[in-house]
Amino acid sequence: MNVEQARAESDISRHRPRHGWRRCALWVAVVFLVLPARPVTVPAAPQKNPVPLEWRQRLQSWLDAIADHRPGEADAPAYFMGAWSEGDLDAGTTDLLTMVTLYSRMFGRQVSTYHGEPFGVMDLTQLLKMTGGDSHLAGADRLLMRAAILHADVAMRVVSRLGSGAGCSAISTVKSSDGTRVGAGCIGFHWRIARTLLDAVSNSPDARAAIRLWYHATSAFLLEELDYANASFHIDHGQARFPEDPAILFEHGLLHEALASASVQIALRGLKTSVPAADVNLRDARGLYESAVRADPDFVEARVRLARVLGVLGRHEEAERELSKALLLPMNTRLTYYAELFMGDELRALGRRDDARSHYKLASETVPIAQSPKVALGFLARQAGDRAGALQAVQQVLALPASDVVRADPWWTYYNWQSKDSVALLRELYQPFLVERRLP
Amino acid sequence: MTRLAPMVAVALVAASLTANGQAPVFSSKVEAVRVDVLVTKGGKPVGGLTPKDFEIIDNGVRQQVDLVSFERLPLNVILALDMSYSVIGERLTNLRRGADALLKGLNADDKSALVTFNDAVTLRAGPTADAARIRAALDRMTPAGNTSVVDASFASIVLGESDVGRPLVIVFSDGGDTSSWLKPADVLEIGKRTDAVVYAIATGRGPQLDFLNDLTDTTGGRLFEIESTKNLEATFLGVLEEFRQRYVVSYSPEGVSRDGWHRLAVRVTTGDVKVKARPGYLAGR
Repeated sequence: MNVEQARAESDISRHRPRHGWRRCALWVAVVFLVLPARPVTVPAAPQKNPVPLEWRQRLQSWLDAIADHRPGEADAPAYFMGAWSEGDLDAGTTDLLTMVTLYSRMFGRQVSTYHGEPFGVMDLTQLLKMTGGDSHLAGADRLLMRAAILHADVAMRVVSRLGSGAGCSAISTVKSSDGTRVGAGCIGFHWRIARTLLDAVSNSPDARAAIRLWYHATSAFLLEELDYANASFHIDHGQARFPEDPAILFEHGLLHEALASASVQIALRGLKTSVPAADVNLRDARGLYESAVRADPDFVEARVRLARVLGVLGRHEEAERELSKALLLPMNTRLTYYAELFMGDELRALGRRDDARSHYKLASETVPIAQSPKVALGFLARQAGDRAGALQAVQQVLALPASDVVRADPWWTYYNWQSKDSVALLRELYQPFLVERRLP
Repeated sequence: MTRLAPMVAVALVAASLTANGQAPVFSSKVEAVRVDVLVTKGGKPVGGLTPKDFEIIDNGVRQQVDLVSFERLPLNVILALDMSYSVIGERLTNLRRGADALLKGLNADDKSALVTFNDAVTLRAGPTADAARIRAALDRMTPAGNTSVVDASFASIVLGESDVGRPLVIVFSDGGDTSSWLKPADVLEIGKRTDAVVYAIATGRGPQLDFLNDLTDTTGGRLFEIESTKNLEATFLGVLEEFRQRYVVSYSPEGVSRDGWHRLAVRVTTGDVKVKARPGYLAGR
């Protein structure tokens, strides 16, 4: 694919809704290790290799794509990079990072040699397009950050449109829907390349803030897409760089909580996988949420999720305490719904049935179209022998609109929802790069 | 009603229901327990048994059987059908055929209702004696979404026991639960409290069927694990026939505490027969 072809394809693809399929089938991609007796076909890499083999041409075309890419778009440069093989991109990464390192270390009239070619400061400045532009980031940091944004955009917006195997590394994953395995996916190498590039960015406060936001936003995207396989590698890497960051701790906790969910655990039965059992994931989630709350005691969303995990682990008194604290903090509607619903369950577990009923009712009032609190109220009534009360609650459930899309109980999307979604976070990430003066 | 032991109706329930079609009113002092019992010999149902042929042990105490009825009570059949994404194509066609076969097997005084579930649990039609309404609703079903089989089982049990007639809940599902709010243990507890009998038909095998296996055991029903949906008509009809050929045995518990778990043993004193009944019931809070 050349740049023109890529541009044409990007024009067509721009009109496709990103989330159009989501209500039809929720795909969960989970890494699994393949047993020797059961070989799995790894999706083939794209057949065409439009990348020039000569290292300098390859690097030049990549740098052009980085400069031309408009953050947040599946544009021609993104399609161009989406067609690269993993091998070429790896080789290009070595070249790029070497050039960046040379650039940052050289001064005056010093000359270094790479692939037998001499480079002075001016040569590198021109090659890496370090002249001109105004950015909140210093030259090399800006270049690498823009490159990471480009490859995240390729991974998020382009490879799925390029057909089977595009952007795939050799690691296979499982795709499941409703707890049933429905196919194979892969670990995307564009994510790995982007992370590798960001590892070379400096530790300046501005750069750290940009990288942190990049991890936060892209992790939110992967979690929303239920792509737990790529999210595992991604969030682990981000956590290593920002071990105390509450947002990344939170997303790491959310990943483990989701891996403990029934839809994932059912799909993984009978497979040898890298995903631990539910209780192990829940314990990990608990630790991560606790760290997030310690780092930011007002992080109400982390507190609500921590409480839910504690409850599932049978630690109902602790869960009730966390929810009591959370309910004192400002919350959006959806989070309020979760908190009230979870509180109902914890109080029921503690034998406080009347209090439980009150909280289920509050949850039901918060989202009147939701099924779960009504079912919970029916259960409470039936458990107490109140058949009429149970029937009344169940009739309310059965009378809700038939469509699960219209009904939209937030409980059904608990694992792929955050208060601040990836669209908002990515917009925040892109903004400084959209307003900065274009690189020459 | 709230003081009654769950799963439990009352002595003479059969007569009172069939006579006037209204919910019976019971003495607060005398609670009767109703147990659905299947008696077979060589795999075939045994008919003609009377109260003196049954022996019921409630928490180790032998009870006086008051009434035994066989093939006389109208049914209240709740069809709880999985409409998640995986039930597409041939499975849906076969499921419609199976449900339709069951509807054709109902008597004029039987009622039925159609509950479907994916994430959402929805009453599509009924309870009604007009099978055509259920059939029309079956034709309108479109699979999508995840599986809330636990929530749906709970709602179906409550709906089943709400009307006159012997409550029979038939759950069809092709996978494990992925989106219910209630936990399996919650609904199993209700299964111990209700007099509804739950049968389940599930495709595939494996631990994801644990819930349906436990629920059918608890309520005295049966789980049919099927490899393919091709013979669903026969399976649905088989459930109906088996349920019709069960005895409803009633007794008023004596010499046992009112609340808590009551372990039941049901025996038939005559002949070399197999007896299937619920293992017990839960009374009180």
